[in-house]
Amino acid sequence: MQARDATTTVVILPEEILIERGCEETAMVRRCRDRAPGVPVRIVDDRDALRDGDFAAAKRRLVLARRRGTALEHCPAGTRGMACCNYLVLTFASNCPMDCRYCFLQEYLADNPALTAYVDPETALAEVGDLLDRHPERQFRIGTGELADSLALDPLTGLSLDLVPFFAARRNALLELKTKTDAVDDLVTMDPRERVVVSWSLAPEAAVAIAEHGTASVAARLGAMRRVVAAGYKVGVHFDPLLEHAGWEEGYRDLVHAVASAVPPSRLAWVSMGALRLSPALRTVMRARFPSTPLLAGEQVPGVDGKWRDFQPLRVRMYRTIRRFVAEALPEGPLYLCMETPDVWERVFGAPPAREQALGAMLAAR
Amino acid sequence: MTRDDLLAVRTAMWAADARAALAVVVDALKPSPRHLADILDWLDDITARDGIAPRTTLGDPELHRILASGGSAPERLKRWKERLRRLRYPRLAARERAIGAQLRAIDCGPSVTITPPPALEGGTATVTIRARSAAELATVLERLREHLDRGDIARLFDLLDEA
Repeated sequence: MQARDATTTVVILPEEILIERGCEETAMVRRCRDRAPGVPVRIVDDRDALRDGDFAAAKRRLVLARRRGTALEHCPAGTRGMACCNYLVLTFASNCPMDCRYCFLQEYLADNPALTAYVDPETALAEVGDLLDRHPERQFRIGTGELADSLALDPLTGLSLDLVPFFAARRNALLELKTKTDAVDDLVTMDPRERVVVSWSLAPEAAVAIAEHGTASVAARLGAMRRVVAAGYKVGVHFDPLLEHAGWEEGYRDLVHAVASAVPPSRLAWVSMGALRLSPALRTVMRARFPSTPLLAGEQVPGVDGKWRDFQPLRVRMYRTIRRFVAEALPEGPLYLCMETPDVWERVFGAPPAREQALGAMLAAR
Repeated sequence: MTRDDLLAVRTAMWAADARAALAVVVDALKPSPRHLADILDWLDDITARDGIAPRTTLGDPELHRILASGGSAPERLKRWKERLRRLRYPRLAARERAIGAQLRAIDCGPSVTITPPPALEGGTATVTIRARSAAELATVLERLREHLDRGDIARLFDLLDEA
């Protein structure tokens, strides 16, 4: 464990914090106000009034509110025709202060884009605790990076201070915190007891410049990897989405080797690859928000799930190329594909994917 | 959205000569709003990828030749869009052409049809064999066997595998 030394390079301060009435005295609200003393605060009676509005503007204003509905759901990657790794997603926030050009939240949250952190993590954790207690024989993998980056708001909310001790005390669950930041100042103060994996979505710096606005640099992410490894965490790596760009092969080769330098083999939990995938509705939103983005100009075609990906022979080439780099530099890391068809799995790995329970159990056992 | 709405929204930032060039195409080929949306998407995508302005893309000699050729508007629109699609998807189109050439090399006559997957997605070719008798089927299978032995069919599947 390390002291909290605030070396995070990307701390995204909102222009305003809006607190749902009745939440003012929650621990998370107090923490946010302590950590962002200069940010104006307003109490709101009706958070639904914040639903409309410009997507980009919504990212600059943080709403602190109670969660409505269930927090724990099955990962949506297990859609028709796609191989699945039996993953659960736990939602503590909605939307993200960063602005990746390809992000599905642009479309998914178009009707309710308010950047919101839920102030009652204990309710969600009780839901998780019930599930884990009901199935002590099963190993669960649970991630928080579906509707929000897992750590982007952590410098303000300190949510990880609630999550890590909870999962560290559990024997049948592995928490994955998935991020494009280097916001690990709180994480490194805790002992995860092998129950927390911090994962980074990575792409070569040239691709980050094109597609991942507001995120930490690759160097900063690698630096954060080193810090969490030193603090006892395992690290996951997601080459997802794979972004084809000029020099992509060299870029990914260098990146894989940089990860190998930052993470000892024994601390690498898993590596995944996933193609850039865009729903038709997301393409429409991207075209309106970023008409000149080269991401729309790839040679993408609709797949069995209706999402557009680079045409299959091209993405098979990308997967095989990166698989080769991973085999050279990270041979210990279990490698899998996210949201791909069994046919592509077989072409890349020479065998069809394991059944979802087997794949999930293999990853959970890391 | 109507054709006029689409044109107004999507070409508002275009140079006047580009709008005029597209107007000639729309006037001649009368694309539906759906086809026009594809055309606008592809022109914008080429600009985003290659830095080639829509006016330059619309100046492609082959596009001009199709526009000026005979045939009905729907038939010319089909050929014109296919040409634009090749400019928008050069590697996919090249791969499709290579597959087409390979399929012609595997000519087993009218009794056999080999259909690659749409947009090469899925990796599975569909082989249809039509036969009216056991003897006819045996002949067709023998021809297919010859192509398999020569590696023609393996080459086809290689083209479906990796770009």
